[in-house]
Amino acid sequence: MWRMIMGKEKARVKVFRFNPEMDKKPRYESYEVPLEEGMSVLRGLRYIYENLDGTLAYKDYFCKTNQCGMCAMKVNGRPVFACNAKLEKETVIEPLPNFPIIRDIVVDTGRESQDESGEIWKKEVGVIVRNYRNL
Amino acid sequence: LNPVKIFNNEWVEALEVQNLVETSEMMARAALMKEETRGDHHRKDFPNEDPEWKRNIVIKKEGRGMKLTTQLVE
Repeated sequence: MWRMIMGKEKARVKVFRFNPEMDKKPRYESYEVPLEEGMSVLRGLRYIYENLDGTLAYKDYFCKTNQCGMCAMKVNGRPVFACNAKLEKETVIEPLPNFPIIRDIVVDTGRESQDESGEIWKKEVGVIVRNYRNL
Repeated sequence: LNPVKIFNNEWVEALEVQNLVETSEMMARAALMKEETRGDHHRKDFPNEDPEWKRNIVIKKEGRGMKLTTQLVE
């Protein structure tokens, strides 16, 4: 593993950070992540959390097969599933829009935060699915 | 130390360690108790299915430890 990532290209990853407990407004933090072949955005986030910044909040329970939607977030301006989205050399990671922010890129997708019918969630996931169809 | 109270992954992981250890002990004890081979449970020392072992293992918390009993599969 270490040999694989040594001396390789690095991705500059800008991550949206916001702690509603203490921050007045959000900020972006930059990290350098060694790029591996076929590396997903989610793996990049895990690299940041495990090696660079343990205070980063992100959801690390997921199906990893593009189905459960737990890792939905905005990457380079597009809502995607982070387990399936490729980590680019320049990547900006932001929370999924239209949901209340819990911390950093974690949003509240719970029933309470949505309209009764869950329309927002359906709409957001719909956008992601459509994005993949257009690839 | 990460003092953040909202969605603190490091804190959650620390709390999970206890559960991981407990679950591991339950799995290991149950596997050791079940002296047969059935489905995905393989024992080199008991390579065959044993009709006597058509039983579920039930684990209950007892004091600071755990107690394993079996009950017939209905």
